[in-house]
Amino acid sequence: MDFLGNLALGFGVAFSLQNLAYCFAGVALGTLIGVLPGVGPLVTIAMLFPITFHLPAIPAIIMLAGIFYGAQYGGSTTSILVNLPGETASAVTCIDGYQMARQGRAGPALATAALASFFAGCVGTLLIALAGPTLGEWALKFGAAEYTALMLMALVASAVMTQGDALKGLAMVVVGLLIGVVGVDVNSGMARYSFGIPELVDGIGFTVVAVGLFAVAEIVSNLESREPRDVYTGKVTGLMPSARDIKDAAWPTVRGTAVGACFGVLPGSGPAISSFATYMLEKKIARDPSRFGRGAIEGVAAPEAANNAAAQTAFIPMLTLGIPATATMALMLAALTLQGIATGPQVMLEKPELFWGLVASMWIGNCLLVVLNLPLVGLWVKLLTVPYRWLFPSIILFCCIGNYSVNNNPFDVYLCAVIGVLGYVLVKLECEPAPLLLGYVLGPLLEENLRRALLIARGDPTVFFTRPLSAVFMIATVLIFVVMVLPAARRMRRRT
Amino acid sequence: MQVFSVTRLLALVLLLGTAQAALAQAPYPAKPVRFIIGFPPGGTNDIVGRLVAPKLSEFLGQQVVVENRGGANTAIASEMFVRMPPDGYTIMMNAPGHATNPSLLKLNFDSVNDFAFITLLAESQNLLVVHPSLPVRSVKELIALSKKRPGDINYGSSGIGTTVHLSAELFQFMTGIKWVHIPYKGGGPGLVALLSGEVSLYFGNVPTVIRQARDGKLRAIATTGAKRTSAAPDIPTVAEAGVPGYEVSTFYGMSAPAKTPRTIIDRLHRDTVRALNAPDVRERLQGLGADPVGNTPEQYTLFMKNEIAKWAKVIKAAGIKGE
Repeated sequence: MDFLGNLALGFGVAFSLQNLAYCFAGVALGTLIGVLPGVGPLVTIAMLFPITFHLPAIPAIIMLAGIFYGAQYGGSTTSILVNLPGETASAVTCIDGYQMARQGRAGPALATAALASFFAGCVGTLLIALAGPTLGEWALKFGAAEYTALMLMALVASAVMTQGDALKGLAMVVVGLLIGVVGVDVNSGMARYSFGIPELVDGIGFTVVAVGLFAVAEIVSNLESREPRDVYTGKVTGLMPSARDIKDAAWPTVRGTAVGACFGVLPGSGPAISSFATYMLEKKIARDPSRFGRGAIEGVAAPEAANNAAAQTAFIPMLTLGIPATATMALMLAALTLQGIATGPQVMLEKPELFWGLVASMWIGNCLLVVLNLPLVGLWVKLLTVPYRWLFPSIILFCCIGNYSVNNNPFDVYLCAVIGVLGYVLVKLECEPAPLLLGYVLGPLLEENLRRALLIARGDPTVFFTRPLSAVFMIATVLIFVVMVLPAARRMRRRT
Repeated sequence: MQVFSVTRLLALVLLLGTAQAALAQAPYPAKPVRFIIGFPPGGTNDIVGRLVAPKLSEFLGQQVVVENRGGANTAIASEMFVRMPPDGYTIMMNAPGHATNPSLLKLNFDSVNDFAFITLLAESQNLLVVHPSLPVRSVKELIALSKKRPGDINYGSSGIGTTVHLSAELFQFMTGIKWVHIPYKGGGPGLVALLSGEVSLYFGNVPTVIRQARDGKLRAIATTGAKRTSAAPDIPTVAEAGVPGYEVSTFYGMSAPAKTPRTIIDRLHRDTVRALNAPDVRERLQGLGADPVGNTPEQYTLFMKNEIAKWAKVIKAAGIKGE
């Protein structure tokens, strides 16, 4: 009852015509800018957040929440339509979402993404309201040893990601790992593979890698075919998902939400790996795994749900412990601080109207997102009927703008072009970019945490098995490995 | 006809020439000013810059446009910046990285002579906090315990070469004790590690750790500034509590490229100080844990020289290497 009372307080604070207008403006602006490829939520919020300086606290937060969700969803839109991921999480959506678009099913893909995100957002908001503090404490149980074991498990499970040749998949993970370690090493402070170029000291940015690998490489290989063929088959079969689509997407959405909500609480690495993790899970338990990578609706619903649930629960460490889990959260924290809202364990007691107002505004933000985007689906899909000779230069132009806007440095644009060439070579060799991206994201995290765990244990490797949570992940890793290797081994034996 | 067009051309050239001369003599500032910030959007530096810029625009009568160029702890922005024409239309924000980079990276510019320092915008400090499981309540107790258990206490940081890291290195350097450094990628993960007890010690920026200390999740020991911070006047400084001369400042400054005319520097200085004194700017800066400063170009130049010399000594003694 207390919970309902609190929620009522929150909605009472947030639900005014003026606040709804701010939220709607935030969602619209966020979507508009987030749709630009390479411009993820972080850049969008940073660009728009001075607008909120002059607003009172509640409308300011509500508008920021709207911008945040809008930008997040805008990124998914370009992933599906033109194979352009705006951030780590939406890179996974590219795999099946873009294939759906090519089959003329961009409408259902976009609608599924919006609805799955909305469902996950609602559950995430509810989780914050119900169990925020408990989940916050749970995040503190994860030390360097636990992260190491978790990353190891994710990397082993990633073998499932690959479509064809397992050896090629492994090679891609390693290439990704090599790209990931460029820049200053966290543990020693030494710059690696930077070749004395100052721009490489901070490593190669995610947007540079993802945009080059997915979008640029895709465009180059499309242009290769002589006749200017249409990338998208002319017929667009319905804008909204069919009953069968909804049935197919329902459970993956629920599972994606659960996985995303768990990972989102972990500061730093959580949101990034949640969509990879849930994609692997869906592919593993699917009756026909070969459909993945060829436009499976589950491959859109699950990661989109995970990504939004994680984005939601990422608020938990910030609100309850005062710790920003990601760079985007750090910016939100700064925005709240500037509005005079001190987050931390006391915020719920000291300023309940603000805390619950924020929770309510999150829900309103998610809701308005669906309201705004479902009617827009038709418009986005129309965009695809633009002839390719007009479409591809615009995509390339937006890629350049997106990459340039992160640091205002042309170097990132050149680097993206180089990665694009690499991506094209990989397409020719029939190697997939997804495992590379996974290696790029997870490899450096694994190394960082492994070395940190050993540093803290003063070099004692048993630490991974003596800490209970870490031991559980280690055992799970071994099990996954056995389950994956066994069928192959059995097949080998039968053959001999 | 031809003669006529030549005269016309001549007249046009003359006219253009005078127009150009008039523009050159137009009082500064005649066009918008670029304000370079050496970090991607979203960090404290970016926020401080974006707080000051609109107020400065008001006083200058020209738009001050914030431009982010992140990378290598401001070194990438500086490298571009020192090649800009010294006409007052490009200014830059300096951060502690400006003082530590000369000792950590190979730079293609001179961190003192290539800059005309205008004023220190604001200063904030770090707060030494410990996990409650570490049985110390003061700087003296911490030193005593560290001497009893050399190389046993872990301290966290937000990365190598950050003020969080260097505060601890300076502390060890001045007291002769030995801790183990566990670097994290950014302040968020570093703070989590401290709250969970993975590391026992952390020199966090005041606003990021003060709440947890007030809530009893962490124990505040001392602040790193020369004076007590207005955000927590009850907490002593490290210098007061037993390490005289200890001082670490996280600063935000403003500079122009070297050889910028003195009149322009003075104009920028005057209007920046006015912007810093505006009540809403002042209030928002303090909300971020930063105290507005606004000292003279001479004071700021001396400050920067001292900072560079201090960190060169500490970084060398601690054996920290960059490239």
